[in-house]
Amino acid sequence: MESIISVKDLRFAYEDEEGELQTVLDGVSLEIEKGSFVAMVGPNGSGKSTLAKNLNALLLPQSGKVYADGMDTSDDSLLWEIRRSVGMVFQNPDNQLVSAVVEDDIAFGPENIGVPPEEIRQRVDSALEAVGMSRFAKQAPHMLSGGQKQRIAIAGVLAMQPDVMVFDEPTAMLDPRGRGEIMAIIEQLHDAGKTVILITHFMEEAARADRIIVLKDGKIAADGTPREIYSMSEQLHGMKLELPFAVELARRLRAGGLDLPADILSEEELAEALCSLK
Amino acid sequence: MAIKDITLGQYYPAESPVHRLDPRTKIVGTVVYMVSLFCVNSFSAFALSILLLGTVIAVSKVPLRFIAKGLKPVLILIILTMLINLFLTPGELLLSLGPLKVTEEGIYRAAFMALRLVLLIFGSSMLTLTTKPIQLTDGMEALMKPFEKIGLPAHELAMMMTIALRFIPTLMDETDKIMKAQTARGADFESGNFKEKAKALVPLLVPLFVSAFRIAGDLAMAMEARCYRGGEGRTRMNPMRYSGRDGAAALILALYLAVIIFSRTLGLF
Amino acid sequence: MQLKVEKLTHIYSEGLPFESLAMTDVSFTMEQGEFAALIGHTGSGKSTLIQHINGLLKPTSGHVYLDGVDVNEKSPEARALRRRIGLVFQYPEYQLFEETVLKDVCFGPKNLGLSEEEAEEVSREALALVGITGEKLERSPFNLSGGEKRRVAIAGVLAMDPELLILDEPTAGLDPRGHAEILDAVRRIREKKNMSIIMVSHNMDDVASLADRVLVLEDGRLIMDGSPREIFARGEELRAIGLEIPSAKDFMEKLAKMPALKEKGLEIDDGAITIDEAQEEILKLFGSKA
Repeated sequence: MESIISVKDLRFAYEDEEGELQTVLDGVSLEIEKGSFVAMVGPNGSGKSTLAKNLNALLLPQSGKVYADGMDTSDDSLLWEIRRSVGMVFQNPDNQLVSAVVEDDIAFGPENIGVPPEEIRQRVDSALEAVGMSRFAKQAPHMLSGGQKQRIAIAGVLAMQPDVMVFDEPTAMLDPRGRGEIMAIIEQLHDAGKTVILITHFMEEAARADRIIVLKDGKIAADGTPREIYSMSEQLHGMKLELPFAVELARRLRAGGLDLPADILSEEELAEALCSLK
Repeated sequence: MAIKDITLGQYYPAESPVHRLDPRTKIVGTVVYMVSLFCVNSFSAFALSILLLGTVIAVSKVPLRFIAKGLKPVLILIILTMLINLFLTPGELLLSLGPLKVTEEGIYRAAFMALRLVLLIFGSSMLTLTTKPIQLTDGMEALMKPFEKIGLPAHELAMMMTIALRFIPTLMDETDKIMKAQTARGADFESGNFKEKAKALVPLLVPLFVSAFRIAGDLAMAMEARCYRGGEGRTRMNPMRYSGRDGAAALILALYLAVIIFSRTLGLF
Repeated sequence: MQLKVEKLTHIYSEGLPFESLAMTDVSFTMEQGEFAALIGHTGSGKSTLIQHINGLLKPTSGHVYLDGVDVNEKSPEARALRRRIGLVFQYPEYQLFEETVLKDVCFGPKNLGLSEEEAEEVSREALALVGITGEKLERSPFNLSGGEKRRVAIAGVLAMDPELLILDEPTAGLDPRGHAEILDAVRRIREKKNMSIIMVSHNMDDVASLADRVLVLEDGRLIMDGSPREIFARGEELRAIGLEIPSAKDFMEKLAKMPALKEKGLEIDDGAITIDEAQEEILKLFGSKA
């Protein structure tokens, strides 16, 4: 296993309005394997977003270390290479597009890192194609739907050819259709070999990852495959986390006296399990 | 007024030699043309200015109707200027309507002023109509570059313009939404005296500023995540290049300017 | 208050080359106390419809009546009726502007002409209804959590004591906790006040558990109108226009189709649309033998 992100005893605190320090990350350590698809879940205030911003040096550890592809994020001279290699897509599709024309927006990242003009053109075209938005190259972003804008944002990051892509609640503001589009693209990127880190509130989305990390009060509360995580449904329920429908129904049915396996993950599995009861 | 009604500063997409000119050529050309309009003081010279702009418009494929829409917001200003010049210019009396006196000089000046304003507006609209916003800001950045030595932040100014162009529609939408929401809560933005009206704006302006700051914060974060670090070391997808076309345009412009200046100093026409 | 929408048609930018039909021949009637969910994907005309109900948009043809009075009449009567409509837009927390939560909620009632004391009283009541109490009333609305801000904004409309409350995607963009808090608030409003409610939503689980009537819009037309059970029984049609059905209903249909059940001679009712109903039905079928 080759790890591409390595977080060692990361601590982070914000000063609130009263000037008191609020601990957001309280000693987080983790390794993320190259090419994997990791979901990070946890209630608001659990530190997921702060952790994500530490991965590409948008925030720097107050203590502990973060390495992105072997580069220490607190090393100033590596800053731009780190941000290039760990790209980030944010929640609000409107507020991350810089230019009034789609293709110029996608060129923004490559232009910043000094890519030669002809190559920028190629990168922009292939990034647009990867997110299925080639038709919209000359349009103005504000005329597009939320899902389309978010695809442009993803293309803008892709054009910098990052190794890792961090998605900070990319579907929170989208309708079901837009949400489906974005999840499909995320899975495609993962299949194409990118390391994907998805921060989300939606357990159904997290279930599509290889690995789920549950954060609570700035600490890692659970870490495992979706199956391992959801077999702890009682604990997750106690943490006020939403469970995928099948997991939640199975939990309730077990509580109601049915003898169902603990690791049911999908509706199909639940239906099978019910049918094989006696 | 809906944003789509504003043509000033709008881009009209088309394939034409004017569209393909380097933005720097067009910016300089527009400035020179505007200055020339203030030198012009005879109808024959005006004819030359009209001829030049007319040719540019014809070549650009931008419909005249579309350009003329840009006049709408300033129509009153033009009419007012005409009337003032018409009635308040001393000279040879032609007609007298009570206290209002129309003089021959007045008619000339009114016509000159109106022509000048119309050509100014048409000329500047042609720049924005045929130049994409990003090219416009790139061009301005390049032209301001020499002044960086004396502390002019050329790149930053251009980036600010780019972002402003991108977010104007977003903020317009935002304003519309907040206005509707506050109207649904019984806010009244229309009636009342000046003081009441100003007070009624608070429920609109506070959320609008909060939104603008939120957008700014998000955008700054997103730009940094995409390796933005100012103008240094940046490349461009479409670098500006002078071509033969720009040389030809510059030559025509120089010729035009020369004729205008000579006509004024030597009284040729 | 009775709401009657009659043959409502709306054309955007009429007469211009880019005119578009946003709403075509929509008719329905809603009685006092009904809770209707309005569903349809983005661009189907949901926002256009709700903006007609309080007169923010004027119909190109057709009418909207409140208690028999056309909302677009210029009479004081129509004006008074329009004020009985409480419209909560999407992301309503972006309209907050006052220094304290209480002052912000007072904005609406004061615009209705209530005195400072009266406004405060109704505002406190509205805030309690959405679960905001105690010291939070004196806090700045900008320092609350996302879910709390949203509830304050809803209270701002509730405090105007509407007879018909319209909620446009009240849970959009919230985390699961904020989402649950909003649903609780909507349930409390339902219990404590005899208000009619129209809720626009993309979340079919919420629709199934809250509404007693579902209106489905597609391309500016009202294509279905019925109880949640009736509507969600037409899963194929909903999927065909890109809408989802509640997770519970989806699962029950899958379960009912399992061949293994038939072999055992078990007959399952696949009509459940909420997780509670699904749980009950499954326990009834399998639990008794356990």
